[in-house]
Amino acid sequence: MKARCVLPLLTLLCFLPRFVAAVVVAPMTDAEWFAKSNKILVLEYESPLGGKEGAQLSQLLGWMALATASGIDQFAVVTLQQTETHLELTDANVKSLGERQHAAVVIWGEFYQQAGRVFVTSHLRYTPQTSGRDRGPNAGKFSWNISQLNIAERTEAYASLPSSQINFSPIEISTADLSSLQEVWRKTVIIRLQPDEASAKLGELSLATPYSVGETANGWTRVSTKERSGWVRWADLSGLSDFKDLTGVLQYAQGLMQFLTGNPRGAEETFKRYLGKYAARQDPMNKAVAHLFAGYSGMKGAVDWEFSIKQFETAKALLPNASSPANCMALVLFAKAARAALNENETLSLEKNLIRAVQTESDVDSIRNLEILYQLPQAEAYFKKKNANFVQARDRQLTVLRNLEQQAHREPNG
Amino acid sequence: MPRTPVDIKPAKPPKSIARWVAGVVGVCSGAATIYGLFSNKRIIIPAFIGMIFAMVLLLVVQRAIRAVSAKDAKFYDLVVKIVIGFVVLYFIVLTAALFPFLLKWLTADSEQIQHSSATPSATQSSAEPSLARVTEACQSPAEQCTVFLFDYLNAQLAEDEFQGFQIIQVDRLNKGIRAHLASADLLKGIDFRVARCSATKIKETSVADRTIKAMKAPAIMWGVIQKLPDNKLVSTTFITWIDDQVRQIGGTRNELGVDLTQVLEIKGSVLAMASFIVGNVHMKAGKPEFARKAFLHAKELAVQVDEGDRLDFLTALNHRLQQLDAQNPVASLQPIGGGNP
Repeated sequence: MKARCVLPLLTLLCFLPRFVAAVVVAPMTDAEWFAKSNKILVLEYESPLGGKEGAQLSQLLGWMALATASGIDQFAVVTLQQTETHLELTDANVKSLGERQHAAVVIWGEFYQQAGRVFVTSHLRYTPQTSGRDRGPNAGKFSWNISQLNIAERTEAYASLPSSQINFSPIEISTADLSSLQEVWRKTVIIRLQPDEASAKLGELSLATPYSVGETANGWTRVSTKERSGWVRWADLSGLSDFKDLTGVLQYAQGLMQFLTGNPRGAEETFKRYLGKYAARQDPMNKAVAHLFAGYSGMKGAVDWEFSIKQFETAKALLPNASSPANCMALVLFAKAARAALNENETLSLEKNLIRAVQTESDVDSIRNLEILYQLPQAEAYFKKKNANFVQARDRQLTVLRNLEQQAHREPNG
Repeated sequence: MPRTPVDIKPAKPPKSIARWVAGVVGVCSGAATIYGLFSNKRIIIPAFIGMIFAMVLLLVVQRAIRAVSAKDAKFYDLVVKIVIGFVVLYFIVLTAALFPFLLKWLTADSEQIQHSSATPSATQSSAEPSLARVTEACQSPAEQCTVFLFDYLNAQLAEDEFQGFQIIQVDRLNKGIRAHLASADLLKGIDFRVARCSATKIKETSVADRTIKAMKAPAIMWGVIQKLPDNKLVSTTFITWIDDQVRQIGGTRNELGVDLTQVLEIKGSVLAMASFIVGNVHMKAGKPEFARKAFLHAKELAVQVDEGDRLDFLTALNHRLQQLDAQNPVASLQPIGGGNP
């Protein structure tokens, strides 16, 4: 009897349209949209001279994100627009909007017009802890299980990201003038009955109405509300040369979302593509974080130590005074140590880099990773070779480091 | 027609005209050289060449006077005429080249006259602004760390175009610098801003020195905007900043051509300076780790500071880092494996 009831239900579920994504354009004051989704939040781009183009640009960007996304479960894009009371997009306000929407990735920016051309700068903020998945003291950090190394009181090693904000180099949208941007925007909001330009127009995507995003066919995407369902043409966006430079921002965001939703192989590939195609013009922080994600995703996905070491070394060269690449290097060497031998150069170089990170930033992860390194059986031989009184020297260093760690706990960095 | 004895005159060198020409060119070139020494060193070379020509002309005229009765008088007459022609031509070219500077000088003078009007506006300026008025008009809220950008000196742009430039300039500096500092993880709660100050225009470093002292701002930015013959805008920005003393970073030139992407990307001395300022704020707030991070970042960017100001900037930076190292409990931590961290 029970089986007879369950079977039709399962059959029905199989034939129901499978909505994998959702999108909404809403006012900036709105409460959270799509509570259980993995969200990218796109905020209205600002111009010091005003204009509607910022809102249209952010909508297009949101739809492009949906049109180009892959390998992200329960994906949603929330685009927020300014209301009558303008909200300045300061760091604090961007953070607050991200937290309210529980969005791990927030994209915003500025645009300037000159001689009929549009110039756009974009920023991205990545705060995985705001997605609500992990809220502990080590939330959002890269981590590696080191229980196999048998270090007293240590089962995990950590590395923080060097920054939660990524800036992108200014780009020019090569449309002849702003009316082209508006023309593109107008096309993308039209909902048609069938995936065909000649098909009947059902209406337009409207503000504060959430749409589920379904299957795609020939560049058309099905969007549905409770009341109706239709097709919009977003695929054109990804092929538009006018917006091709914005694809770099979206690819970065996609890589982060893939990583966050447990798809490290996807993230690794996305960041590799980004580094190959879009990173050349970007600032050192932008490139370094992409290398760190590629390297760490490589550790998680393919367990390719040498690839990861190379990525972290590149990040270190880009950010010579940051502790993050040194800590990432510690993670990959600890991971390697559990399965293979470390070499002398790697070990001694890691010690120097971690000490520098401790001296520069009093970074807690660096302090702990240095403590782990000093207790690593594989490293002991190399240190003994350099210092006959290694045990005494190590104990002195460990005492200093433990005091520092306690002090850091008492005075946590803001 | 055969010449009569009346037509035949002895070849006299043009004594007075040649001397006058040589004198005028000499004085003008001398003045241009002095101006160039203080304001624009590129002017010095042509002005100096002008002075040499004037001196050569004077010498030749002197020789010609002596040789007036000699048989080679005709030759000196020809030489003097050629030199006069060449000097006049050179003088005309030099005057044309210096015309924009002359125009700027004249307009700046007229701006000084406007200063007497009661209500300050964006287009007004003065050589010696009323400091009380400036500090009142351009105050930083207590919770903010504000660098003020004074309206640029402008002699060529129409009002609309100038206001458009000024709005974009403030916005790009404010958002660009803040975004850079946030990305480098240096802000840590500091509300760093670049704000516009239209209360006056600053013309020279001595005025900037007095203004920054009166305002108690960590730095001020000021400069000049010019239009090139091909209609490109060129801004030259100076930074006056306070460390233990007032210092200058000068002459960052930005060409605002058709491609804004080059300008929107904030680079160079502005970012180095902003990192230094943020480091100072952290240091005063008793956060040495954040301060050290900011100073080290400023040091990474110091290569982008103009060569003439770099040494001064690095001296100030190294002094701060030494102060921090003296209080760093782990400064003496050395690798067991040997070498330096």
